[in-house]
Amino acid sequence: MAGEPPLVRASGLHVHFPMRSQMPFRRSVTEVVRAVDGVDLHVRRGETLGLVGESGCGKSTLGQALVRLIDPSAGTVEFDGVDTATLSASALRSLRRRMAVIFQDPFASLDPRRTVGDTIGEPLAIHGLHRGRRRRRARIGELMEVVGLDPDHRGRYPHEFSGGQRQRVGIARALAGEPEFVVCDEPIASLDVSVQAQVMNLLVRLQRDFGLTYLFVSHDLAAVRQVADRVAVMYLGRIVEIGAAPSVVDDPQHPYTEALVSAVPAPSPRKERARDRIVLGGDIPSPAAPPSGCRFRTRCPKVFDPCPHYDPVLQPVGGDDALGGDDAVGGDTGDADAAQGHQAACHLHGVRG
Amino acid sequence: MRDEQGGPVLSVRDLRVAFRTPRGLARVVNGLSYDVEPGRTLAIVGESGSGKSVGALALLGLLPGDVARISGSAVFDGYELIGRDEEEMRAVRGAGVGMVFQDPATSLNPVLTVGRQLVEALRAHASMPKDVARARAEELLAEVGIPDPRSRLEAYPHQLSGGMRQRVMIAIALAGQPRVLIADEATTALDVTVQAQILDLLMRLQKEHSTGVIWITHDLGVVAGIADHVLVMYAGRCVEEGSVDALFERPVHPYTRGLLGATPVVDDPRPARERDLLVTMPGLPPDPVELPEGCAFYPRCPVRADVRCRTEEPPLASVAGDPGHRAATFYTPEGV
Ligand SMILES: Nc1ncnc2c1ncn2[C@@H]1O[C@H](COP(=O)(O)OP(=O)(O)OP(=O)(O)O)[C@@H](O)[C@H]1O
Ligand SMILES: Nc1ncnc2c1ncn2[C@@H]1O[C@H](COP(=O)(O)OP(=O)(O)OP(=O)(O)O)[C@@H](O)[C@H]1O
Ligand code: SF4
Ligand SMILES: [Mg+2]
Ligand SMILES: [Mg+2]
Repeated sequence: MAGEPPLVRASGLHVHFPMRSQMPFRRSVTEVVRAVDGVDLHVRRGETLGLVGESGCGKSTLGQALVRLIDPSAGTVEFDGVDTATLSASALRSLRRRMAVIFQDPFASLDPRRTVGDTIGEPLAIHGLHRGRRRRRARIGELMEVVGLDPDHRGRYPHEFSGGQRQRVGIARALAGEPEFVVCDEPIASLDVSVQAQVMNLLVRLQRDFGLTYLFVSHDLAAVRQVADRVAVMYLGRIVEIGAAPSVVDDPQHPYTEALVSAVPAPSPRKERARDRIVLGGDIPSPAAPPSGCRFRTRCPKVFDPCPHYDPVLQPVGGDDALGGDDAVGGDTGDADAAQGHQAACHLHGVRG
Repeated sequence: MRDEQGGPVLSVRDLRVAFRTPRGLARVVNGLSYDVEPGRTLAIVGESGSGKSVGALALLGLLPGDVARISGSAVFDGYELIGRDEEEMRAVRGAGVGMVFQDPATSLNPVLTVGRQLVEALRAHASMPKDVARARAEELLAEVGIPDPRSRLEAYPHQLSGGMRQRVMIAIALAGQPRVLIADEATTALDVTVQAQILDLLMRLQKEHSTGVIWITHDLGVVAGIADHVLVMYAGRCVEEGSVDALFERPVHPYTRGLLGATPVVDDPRPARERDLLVTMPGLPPDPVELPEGCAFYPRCPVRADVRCRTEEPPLASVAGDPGHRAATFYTPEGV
């Protein structure tokens, strides 16, 4: 696997949203929301990359930019080695079939006036797959079975389903075009504990059966740890730490990740009593005006002299084990291999920026 | 004040709530009993629709009187709450029992400043001049950790972050110095870092004022961190209750065990691919209009065996050798 190029790669990715001035007589655009503000990232074929961070840090925007539902303001997104910006409209359309999104809210993301069968069949119609009534119908039934829905319910409407079942409809629709890359954007956030487990297990099983590649977006670190091979931690439009899930979550190297991990409640009173929770002060700064230097410095318990002046870049951190056994001895130290290690953007590991 | 010598500040006994619906009677809360002790936290956990919120709203007289049928008893500080009229309940709410709801966006008035809403809450419980109330409002904001409280009094809810709005809600709930605080999914919508701030704050204030807290949530992690006593609800009934240690270390009811097995943990060192799949329970909780006979969990229960499961409602019985721990099941796990 070591030599294979990543399925998805973002380089210098920015997504900025213009914010209209609140003043009634000024029409000029005064501020820009820097939702994604310089992200380098890759997702390997067949892996699950978890993406965590607080509300508003840019997770959904990044996910949508990776599947080109949003155009980047700057930077590139490569899919399977091809720069998506260079593609013609029709080439981009056929590329779209290879990517899909599962959205957060199973209540808002389905059209209430369409039967779930029609909803699931929509990508088939768009991409002209499984043509013909009979074949399309059979394919929809197959997709429903794959996600654990009764094909006989294809004529029903979303309101006749529970939250977990609606999320399954969303998953079936995402799978219809036989995608290779699926952005799961908070797929379990609105579900009950026992239903969350059902959906997580389903995603894991589908990945095994169909070799899917996932970006799993969630603010629930425990859920991410359960399904992700690697984890990226996002803060105010940037990736501040990334690496193999066990290293990032069990041995965080960025003060923000440390606080995040320490704040996750463990379902064990013994562990809860023993834990030292790092309680961050202050609010998340506005993504329209990120702090100078390190963006986390206004809340960082470990802030020191260089932090307001230099913007830290991702750098290798952690012990030798963080570099990943195989790759260290693999010999071929290409770009992708070097990036396999654990990285964090914090001056505590050497002032770089 | 009787309970100064100890004893619960709120005692709920056999609380039942049913709603008249077009499809028939929805039996949502079916015989709930618990005590809230001063300075202690009772957590009520259960999945969506299990009756957690309805059970709390019934105590406060906040259910629609035309469709809700409430019975049972809830004695607060020697005073029966069930069956009171709106005016009597208004005196209890806030001054006696405060409440923080899940969604601060909908429970704050969007067109009034934070200061105005706090002052109104303060003056609703005790007559005090406006300027005194205003000074007290500023103190309260400071107490819940809002920086620069004086200028925040002028802010409208939409000008505050979610975490700050939730702090304002807590300040309003605390305005009448309630002896019991009911927090219904009070941190569910917040990020874990902000949740940690709010939990910290609430536990500190609880200690200072000896407030009895009912913490309603579906998040077992939060429960493990803050609760003294836990009550697990299923289909409007308590299926298991006990000390927080008993519940998490020695769960007995198959539903409690299922919930714990379905919850992913952060600190399992194995990579995702080497982990076992999460434990799942098939199906959904029953429809309150058509509650099954026997055990309500029977249709989803992975260990149902006892012939009585389908025909008899298992009573909430003491777990042998574990004082204060009770479960409503015919099942006995191995090693218990
Ligand atoms: N279409 C848009 N126009 C303007 N601003 C936007 C737009 N979409 C997102 N934003 C802003 O960009 C920032 C990042 O938003 P995004 O939805 O990506 O965050 P997120 O990490 O997914 O948050 P959450 O966890 O709440 O879903 C936020 O400040 C948001 O308000
Ligand atoms: N006014 C009403 N009329 C009829 N049924 C109602 C009414 N209010 C609530 N219910 C029903 O009572 C049941 C319990 O609702 P409740 O809000 O107490 O659940 P909950 O345990 O708080 O769930 P959640 O975790 O989703 O908040 C639900 O089935 C709900 O549909
Ligand atoms: S660079 Fe400075 S402010 Fe930023 S995380 Fe590291 S120590 Fe904290
Ligand atoms: Mg999002
Ligand atoms: Mg509720």
